[in-house]
Amino acid sequence: MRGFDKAGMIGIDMVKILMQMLMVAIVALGVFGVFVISYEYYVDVRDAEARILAREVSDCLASDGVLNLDRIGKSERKNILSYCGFGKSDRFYVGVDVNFSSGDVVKLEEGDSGAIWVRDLFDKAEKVGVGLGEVSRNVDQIIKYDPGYFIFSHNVFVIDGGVLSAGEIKVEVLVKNED
Amino acid sequence: MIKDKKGVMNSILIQILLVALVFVFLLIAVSERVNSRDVRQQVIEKQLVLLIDSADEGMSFGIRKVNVGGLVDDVQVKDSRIFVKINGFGGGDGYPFFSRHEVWVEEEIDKFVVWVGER
Repeated sequence: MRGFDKAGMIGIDMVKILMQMLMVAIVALGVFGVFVISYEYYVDVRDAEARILAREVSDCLASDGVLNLDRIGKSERKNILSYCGFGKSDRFYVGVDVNFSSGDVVKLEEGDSGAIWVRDLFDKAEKVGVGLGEVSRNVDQIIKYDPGYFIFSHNVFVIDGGVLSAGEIKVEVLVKNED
Repeated sequence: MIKDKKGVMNSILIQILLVALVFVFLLIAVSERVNSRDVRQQVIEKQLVLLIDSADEGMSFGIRKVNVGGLVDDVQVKDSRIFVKINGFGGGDGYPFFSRHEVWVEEEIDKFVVWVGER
């Protein structure tokens, strides 16, 4: 009986100790979590990357002010980054609209344009006044999903079917968060 | 009674030791964050990435080992990603860059030099 009592007492002590340790571990994890959230900071350079990539693509297509569409095959028009010598990447969407003076438009692109709606969502939320902009600036976990973006256009001469005509190219670049 | 007191003392000591162990691990983990080594690593990696992205063929950039952000231990390029180890902190997945040219790193006595272009 005494032996059983001893074993029982030891068992109760172990259970008590384990429960106390569990409480301490939970509190410690909570404190650590607060520090992680407070001290985490995401340095966002995607807008700058978008600007650089847009310039590189524009230089690639029309470095001397002339865009020769005859040199870009139909399959290459859907893989414009690969045509310009950049490797495949899921982070980027590049869209180039070639506008002729006649009103025709030729589209060159590569990547998933679906992230544009995410960009639009963040913009709309700020305009409507939801205050998501302020929240997103303060919470890095949200700001990561607002993609880097740059769009610009300039006049060029376009050669299509051997015919030279005046036109304009609009380059749009989206840089997503890398996962 | 004496045996009971000894048993109680032992259990208290064990509890104190285990709690101390948990808090030592917590302090080590927290100090990593508070020192902001991961932020300094991010800053240098992304500065390098932007330089590489916008570089023409033949350009090179030097990163001093004794840097404003800390002591730079290593700079590596692997699979179109740049990795920087600073103040002994080398964790993380690096940051990807895009370039039409080959990129590599050479180590000198007082700096790392990132080259962009044909070897």
